[in-house]
Amino acid sequence: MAEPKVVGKVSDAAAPASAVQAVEQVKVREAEAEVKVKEEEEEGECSVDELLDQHQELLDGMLSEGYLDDQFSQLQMLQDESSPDFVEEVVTLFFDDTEKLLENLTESLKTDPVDFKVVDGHVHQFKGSSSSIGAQRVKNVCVAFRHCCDAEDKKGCVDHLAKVKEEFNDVRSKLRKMLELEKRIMAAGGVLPFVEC
Amino acid sequence: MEACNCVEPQWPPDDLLMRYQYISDFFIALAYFSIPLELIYFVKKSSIFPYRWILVQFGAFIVLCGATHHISLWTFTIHSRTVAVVLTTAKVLTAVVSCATALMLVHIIPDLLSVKTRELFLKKKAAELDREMGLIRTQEETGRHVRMLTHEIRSTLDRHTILSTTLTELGKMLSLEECTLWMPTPDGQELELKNAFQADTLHVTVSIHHPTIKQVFSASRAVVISPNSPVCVTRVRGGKFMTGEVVAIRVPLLHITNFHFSGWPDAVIRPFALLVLMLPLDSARRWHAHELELVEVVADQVAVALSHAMILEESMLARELLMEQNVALEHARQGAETAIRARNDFLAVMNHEMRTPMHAIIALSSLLQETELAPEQRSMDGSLELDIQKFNLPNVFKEVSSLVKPIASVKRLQVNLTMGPDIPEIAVGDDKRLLQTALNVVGNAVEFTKEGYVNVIVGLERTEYPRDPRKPDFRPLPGDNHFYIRVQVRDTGLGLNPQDIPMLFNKFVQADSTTTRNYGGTGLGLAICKRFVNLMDGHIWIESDGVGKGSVVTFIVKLNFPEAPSHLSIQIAPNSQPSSSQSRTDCSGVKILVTDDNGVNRMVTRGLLMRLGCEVTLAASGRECLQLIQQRNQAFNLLLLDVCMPEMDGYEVAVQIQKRLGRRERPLLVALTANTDRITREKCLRLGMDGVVTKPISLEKMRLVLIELLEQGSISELTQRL
Repeated sequence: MAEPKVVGKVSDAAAPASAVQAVEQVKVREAEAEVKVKEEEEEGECSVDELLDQHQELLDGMLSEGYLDDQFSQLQMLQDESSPDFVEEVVTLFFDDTEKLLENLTESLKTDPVDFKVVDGHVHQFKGSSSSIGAQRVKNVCVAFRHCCDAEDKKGCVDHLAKVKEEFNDVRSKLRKMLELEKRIMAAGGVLPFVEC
Repeated sequence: MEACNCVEPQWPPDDLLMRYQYISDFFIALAYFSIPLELIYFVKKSSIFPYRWILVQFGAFIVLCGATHHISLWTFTIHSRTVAVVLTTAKVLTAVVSCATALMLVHIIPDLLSVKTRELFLKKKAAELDREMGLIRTQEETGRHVRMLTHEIRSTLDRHTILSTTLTELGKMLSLEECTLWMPTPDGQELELKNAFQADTLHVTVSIHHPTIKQVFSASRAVVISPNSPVCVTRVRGGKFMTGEVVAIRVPLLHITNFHFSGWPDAVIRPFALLVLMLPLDSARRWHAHELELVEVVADQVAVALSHAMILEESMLARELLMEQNVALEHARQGAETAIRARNDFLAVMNHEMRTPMHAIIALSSLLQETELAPEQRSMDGSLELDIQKFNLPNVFKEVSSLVKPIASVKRLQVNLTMGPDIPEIAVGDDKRLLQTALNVVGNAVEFTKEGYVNVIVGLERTEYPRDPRKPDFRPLPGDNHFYIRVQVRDTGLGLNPQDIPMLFNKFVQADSTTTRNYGGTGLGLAICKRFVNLMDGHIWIESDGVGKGSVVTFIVKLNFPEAPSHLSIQIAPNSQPSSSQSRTDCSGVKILVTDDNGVNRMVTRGLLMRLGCEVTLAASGRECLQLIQQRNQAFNLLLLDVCMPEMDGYEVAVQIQKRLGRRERPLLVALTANTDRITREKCLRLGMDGVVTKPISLEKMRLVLIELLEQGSISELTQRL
């Protein structure tokens, strides 16, 4: 799917000299919008089975690539009729908590001198919550991060912060996609495979 | 003028020639005209003639020739120029046409000739096909015959029928003079004539080593043999007649034993039978290839059918043998059973006579071992002390029941043990003495009952139960730490005279001196029981409807509850089995307080515990946790404490709780930590925690931990290492 951003940039960088150019650009944007709508329509026409397949693929991918581990599967098992949104709630809480935590971390690493105890405290928290969720990669980076804190290595900490942010964003986008798929599956009347009946 | 008759020429004598020419020409013309007509007529009749154009040419040619000849008739006399012209024209045309025809013929004559050859060829082919048809038909006939024969052979399993049918059919089919079958004798050295088409079985034998026979046996196909060989036996004796050609073929006889592992009969040791076929005497017939083939096929079928028949015979024999053996075994078995029954009866009688006094001896000797005051066993003093410990209450009665059952079963008495559902699993008291008391009472019941049953009913004492009519003011009441159980033993035995009852618990007294003589035993039992029951703050009494109407012994004793968190054991022990079942309800209703500063962890742990059916309260810090405990004061059964919390960590909380609440009152304390090293674990245990669990927690781990904690009050090393 072509990114409309490109067109946007072009239109920003080179201000249309003539009306003709502007018209052309509008046409291009329209066409792309159409394409996007069409694709969304197409996606909307996916059957429940296809959605389930996509969901399973995504989940398998995350598990096999190490983004998630067994703990996440445990969480999925806890979801049932009495708590139908358990996974979503926990995951959302994790995202929110982590955002705050990352902000705090960024702030605390900006101070001079850096108080490594505080940083360690935050990272410990992050490690705890990520391991409860089963976000394996994030947790692993946290473990390495803590070593840097112990060694009072500021540069290492900064590097690891960047890394952990990246990992977190990765897993967050994937989990978001998965949750969205789950919503669509439920809306289409499907049943998620790991929910006990 | 002269009288020369030149105007009218005279008919000169040369005119004869002319005349003949004239006539011939006329006839030629006639013929020339009629031939085309005929041709046209016949061509019209046959519509398929392909050379019409040629015929037209021919016709034209002939017509023109005729015309020419016709016209030449006029030329014998003086003719005018016209006639000459006409004649010339005709001749020219004729020349043209005839040349054309001649050229055409060059083309078509080879064709016409080839038509003839093709016709000849087709005729030859037709003749060949006819011949082949004839052959096929004969083959088909023979095939049909063979099939019929095979069907006949296969439809019977009787050897004799098979052979006679075969020979008869073969003989008829091939119009044979004679058809014989020779079977090997038991010793395998000779062939005996067994079946024949025409002849009667003449009991002729031929040695197996005869060269002809050897030759036939070594060939797998039909072999033409000399009519003089000894196997050529015909009805008509005497060598005057020329016997026709003789053919012989071997027939393999297959036994079960020939089929080895590889499934195919061994080629070396097989015995063979011999099939001999003789063509009619004095006939010029010879054996044809297809007839030989037929014979081979038939021989194979015969071999198979024979082997089937033989196998069937053998299996029938085996079956009869087995049946006989079965009958014999059945007899033997019945004899053995009778013997066993007789022995059992004998043993039963002996047992009873020996056991009854033995039982008393055993009871006595156990009592002897129990009491410390060896010489003073007849002391009335209550110097016996109870040995209090935790024990499994139902097991006591199960043991009594199993001790008594052997004796009871010899007397053909039913012993039924009924345990009430509300009986605690674990109780605190003196189980040995309880066992002795119960054993004594039940043993008495068994001893004094000749037939019927002994029922033992154990249950929690309830106020509505009937009291001892002789001691109505004994009212056992349960309390916080103790409870009473009621044990009732009913039997359908001798019964008692109500007047004798009060004396029973006195030593050395039995209801009736006759019973002493008949049943032996001393009067110690019940007295000792009473002593024990009294020590356990209980009461024992007997009721009976009269002599011969059975009796009921009831005793009530006091036992204590085990020490672990009392409310828990009341909840759990009556319901569950001692073994840890994996069901959800094991942990249902357990109240847990989870203390963790991490929101996500709190949520996950809560989800886990709710899945296990527990009631979960969350606290976000050590301080909040203590507050909650203060408020609700012992509402929680278990505390899950995260050790790494800012401000007040899990250790601190544990210390605080233990300061404020005693061991019995406080909830179970379990530490949650991500560290797996020993130091952390030891620290937790040192601080009085009941267990340590490593994060992250899985559902199974949580379940195991909960079960272990609730049953034993601690977590085993194994579970901690999970």
